[in-house]
Amino acid sequence: MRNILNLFVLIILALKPTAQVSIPVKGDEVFNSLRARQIGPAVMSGRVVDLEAHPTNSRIFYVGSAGGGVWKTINGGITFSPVFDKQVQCIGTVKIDSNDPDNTIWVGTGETWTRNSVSIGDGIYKSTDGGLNWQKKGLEKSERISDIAIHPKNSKIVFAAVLGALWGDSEERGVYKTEDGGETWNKIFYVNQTTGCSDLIMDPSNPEIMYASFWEFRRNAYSFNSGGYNSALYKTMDGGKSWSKIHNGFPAGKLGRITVAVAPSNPNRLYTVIESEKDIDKGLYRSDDAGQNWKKVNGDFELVIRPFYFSRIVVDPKNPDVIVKAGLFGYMSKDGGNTFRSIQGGIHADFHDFIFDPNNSDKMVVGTDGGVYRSWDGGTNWEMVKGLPLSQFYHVSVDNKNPYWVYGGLQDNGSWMGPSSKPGGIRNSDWKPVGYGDGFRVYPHPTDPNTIYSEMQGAENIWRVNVSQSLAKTIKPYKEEGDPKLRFNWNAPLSNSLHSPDRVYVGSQFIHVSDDKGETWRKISPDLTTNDAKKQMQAQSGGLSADNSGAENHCTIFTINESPLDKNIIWAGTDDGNVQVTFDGGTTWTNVRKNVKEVPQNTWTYFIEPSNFDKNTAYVVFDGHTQNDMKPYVQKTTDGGKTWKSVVNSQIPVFVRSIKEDINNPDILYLGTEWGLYISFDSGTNWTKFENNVPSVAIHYMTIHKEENSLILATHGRGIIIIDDLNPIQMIKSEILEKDFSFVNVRPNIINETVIFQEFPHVGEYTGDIPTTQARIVYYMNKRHTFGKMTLEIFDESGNKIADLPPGKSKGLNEVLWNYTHQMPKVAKGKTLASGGFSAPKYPAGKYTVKITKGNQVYEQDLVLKYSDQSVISETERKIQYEKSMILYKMSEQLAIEVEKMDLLLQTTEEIYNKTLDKKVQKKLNLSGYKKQLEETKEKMVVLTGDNYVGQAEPRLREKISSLYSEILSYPGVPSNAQLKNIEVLQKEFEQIKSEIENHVLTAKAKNKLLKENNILNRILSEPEAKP
Amino acid sequence: MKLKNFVFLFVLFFVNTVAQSQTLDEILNKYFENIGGREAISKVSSTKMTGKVNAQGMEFPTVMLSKGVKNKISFSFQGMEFVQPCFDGETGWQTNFMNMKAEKMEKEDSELLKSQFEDFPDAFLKYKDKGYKAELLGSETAEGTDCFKVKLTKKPYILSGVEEENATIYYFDKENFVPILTKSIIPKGPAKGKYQETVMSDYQESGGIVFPFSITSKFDGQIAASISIEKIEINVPIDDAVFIFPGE
Repeated sequence: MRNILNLFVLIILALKPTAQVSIPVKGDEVFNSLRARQIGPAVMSGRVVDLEAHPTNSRIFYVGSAGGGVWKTINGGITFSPVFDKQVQCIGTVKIDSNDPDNTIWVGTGETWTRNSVSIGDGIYKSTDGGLNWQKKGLEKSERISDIAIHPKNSKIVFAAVLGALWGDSEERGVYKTEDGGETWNKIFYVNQTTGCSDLIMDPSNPEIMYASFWEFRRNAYSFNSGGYNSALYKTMDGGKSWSKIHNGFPAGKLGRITVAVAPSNPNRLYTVIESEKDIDKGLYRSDDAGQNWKKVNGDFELVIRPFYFSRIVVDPKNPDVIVKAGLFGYMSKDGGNTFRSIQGGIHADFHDFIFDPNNSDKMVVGTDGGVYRSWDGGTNWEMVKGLPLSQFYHVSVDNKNPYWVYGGLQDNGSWMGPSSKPGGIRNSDWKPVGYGDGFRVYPHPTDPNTIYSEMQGAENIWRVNVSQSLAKTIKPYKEEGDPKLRFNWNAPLSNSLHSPDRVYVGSQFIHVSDDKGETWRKISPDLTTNDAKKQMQAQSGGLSADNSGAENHCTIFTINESPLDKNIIWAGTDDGNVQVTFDGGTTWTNVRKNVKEVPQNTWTYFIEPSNFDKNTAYVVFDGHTQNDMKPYVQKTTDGGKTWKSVVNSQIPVFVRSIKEDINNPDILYLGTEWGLYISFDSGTNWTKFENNVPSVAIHYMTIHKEENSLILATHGRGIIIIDDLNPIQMIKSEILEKDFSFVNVRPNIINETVIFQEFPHVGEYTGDIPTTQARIVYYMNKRHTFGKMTLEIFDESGNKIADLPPGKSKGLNEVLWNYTHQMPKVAKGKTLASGGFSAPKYPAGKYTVKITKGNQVYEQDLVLKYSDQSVISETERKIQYEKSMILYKMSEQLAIEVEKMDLLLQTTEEIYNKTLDKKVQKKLNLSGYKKQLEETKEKMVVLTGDNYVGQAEPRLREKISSLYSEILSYPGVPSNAQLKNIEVLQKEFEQIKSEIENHVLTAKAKNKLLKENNILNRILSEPEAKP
Repeated sequence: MKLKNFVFLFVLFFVNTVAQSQTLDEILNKYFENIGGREAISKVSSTKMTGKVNAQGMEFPTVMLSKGVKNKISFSFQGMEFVQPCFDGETGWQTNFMNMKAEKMEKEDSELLKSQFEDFPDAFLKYKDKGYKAELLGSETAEGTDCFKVKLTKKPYILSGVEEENATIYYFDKENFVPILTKSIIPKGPAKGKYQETVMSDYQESGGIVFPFSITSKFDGQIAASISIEKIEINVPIDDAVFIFPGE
């Protein structure tokens, strides 16, 4: 029996770690007012892939971006708003329905400029309210939609060009047609599984005529191919029923990407740029007979460069001879393509699309790898749009400054550092560049904030930057004697150490370590990759146009991650699928990949997260998208890599690039997917999407700031996004979700004492959000409060009620902000507003009580206010400031009472004066003289003329008190001696006035006696509260 | 298509439409029932609401007067009254903060106010007679709560000569059948085309009618201002003169 019992206990114990409580959470019922904040930046913006102009209204155009969704301007490009946040952010094309251009917009997702870092789409969307709401209209498996053509007379007839899958075969490619506005689609033209439709243009004068170019192309993790015998240009003249090749005049042999454009003002004029087998044939071809015959007109560099990345011709809507070609820069011809000029204007390279203003062709807009630019002079000069935070970060790291700074590198936009907060908001100009080229991983030195490390593509350079001196030293490891050629990934791993401040790691096929900030290097691993020679032919990459940029370097280490608990445990993941681990600081390495059963071979090991709680626990993210596998793969080991199990399920719709384990609760996991942020509260059993200000954007990397308890996301298209306080997420547990009401402990409420100097509105320029400076009250309710009263009050330590705040009523998390200031003082009524009436002293640091009353339920919680540890102002100084400002606060309120008293005296005096007709009595009373005396006193108390602007009157006592009060309040320390003296001056002035008022009251009493004697029933009020 | 199939489809379509409209009617019936009944509401000719506005950390007493299409919202601070705005049935006006004088609003703004206030006492009351269209758009979570989404479309605005849709989406809490959120498209200005959100709660009875005593306005997901109503008086006499533009 005892044995059986023992066995039973053993079984229970064995089961315990896996007996995970399931916590299914619905994000939209829980997160509510817990919002992330976006900090951009927009200083470098990001890749713009498609622009769409309104056909008649030049105030409206749309910007489709590679990873940041769709943005709309309604004011000609001054400001832009994101209109596609809930949908996939990777855009192929945006198209306005000319039948209903203010309302009906189509978006085809999935970028068609197929670089190595390109993301994926998930179909076609339609809005019928100008972009406010979107409906998915199918083509879910299309991956990339290159064009949409809409019948000019019938909005229900729409054609969609599907370029299709980049990394695999697909039958979804081709031209699709709907006749019911997108409810159902028919594939009306298909070539094969490798060749997709890259352009689809409808003849502007005849919707039966369309041109479709087809492109044979393929990418994998280690090479790219453009071209084949199936690439071709087709034409239909019967609305898509039949298609024929129009190659008369085309070069022979294999063809690559072909772009086509029809001149809107002359539909017989066509242009095409052809990528061909022979270099001599590459270039711009023109047809003047609607595609029957073609003639090559130009083969300039800009016309033929990198067709997979730049392949668009746009014809001036008014002039068939004026064309612009997107390329490394812009290229413009005014003579039908015979000759060109560059229209780069010194702006960001890599142009992808243009639009002309429909009413004035001199006004142009271009989309580049560095955002959107506008020109008013036909493309000679360009002005950058500074309000598009489309920044495509690959990575993010943080330091320990206060406020902390964030660091990261971006696609074609270098490396940057910027503050996570700044009074008034984070401006574009607050960001500092710290690298060249494409930027990737940037790390601050853990103890020396002046030193950072950054890199460029393929580790062509790795820098150690002295930030304050603006010095950068190249510190990359070189091949040593006997070494093979070092292979670095395009996005090469670079990191500092959690355990040794001067340590730096770099990964090629080896792990290189430096313990002197990059001066000397040693290898601590053998080649950790599969070293498969077949995957190292990147020099031959590109297809018909060689493209050896380093973007296809393969069989490289991609991620290097130390255990936070043990400096000798280092994990490394390779792009060809290995998972390597050492438990002895690099002496011996074990490839544990063979133990991972559920993930296809050679799936890219994208990121490894060693646990914060257990040495043998780690999470590995595998990303299969470059093998055409879009499924999520995240594996967890709890035994150092011997066994693995999946922590993701079908709730995650797409591949994943990053995971973070919470720092306080190992059951909470954050997942950075290609389509947004997901959170699990039960170690990966259930996942829910976090959508509050986090768009469905690709999250390439995440980090947690331990001291701040913040989650920082590096998004590839919407910049840096931060959840400032993870406390509310960390408290979500089954028992909380079931309770009616629970307060959430938040991070300390620090009293904000900084001044915000005058800044002028920067309309059109992006400003990043900052954390609130107010005190936060956060609570969870399991039901929304709709009926009956609900109040939120704050009490000081003596039990005095000091604030009434409007509480949040939502089901889930509610955040209420308190500005910890007194009520504004009562201010005497005058002709104008007094500044002092809009400011009040802050409550001092200490303990306060929050009381929420909901029906007959009362919930209470302490709220602690603290001063910043960095403040230079002492407790004593603050106390003096508080006391002195409260003197003026009270004076302001007392003055208000005195003015009311005076107003009553004046009012009743005037009334009696007007009613007393007897001249004799009038003379005896001398009310006109009394009234004059009262007016003289009141004039000293408060301004009675002028306005709040340039008509201001000479300040009186109210204004003097008010100004001094506001000025003393604006600085949290001891007031200046001059200010202290001035308080005394004003006190004396006030005393003087008070004694005048006392005299007036005595006079009033005397006159009241006279009034009574003369049988005048009315009396002058000597006591303000008594009504006549 | 065979006739039988056609008839079947037709019936399905018809039944579906009926079910839809019934549901919408049901929602509105329950709504009116829960807030005091159509009859009681149609007898409301004026309201006076007193409370306070909380915006940017400051708090101001406010009075809101409604009498048919006439409406006046005023705040007071430092003993002065600021009207923001008032509509007398024809003209909208408000106090200029610099010189504290009343100034007329742009004519288009007056039209917008008219469209906003002519629904008094309730937009859904006899909405069909008013030429409005209501549609049930389905269910959606708002304020963490499962809601019916009802779109009410009114006569379009004419702004700068262009017709613009004039619609509000109401989120009726499925448990209480009262709106807890509305979304309407901002018709003009820099934020044109975006949603203005209004969150309602603290429904309480006053004079036989149930009103939301807490109203919060949100923009881009952030709170812009909250109104806490302390008192609602129904059918109190309000002199028409208070709505009239006071002149220069």
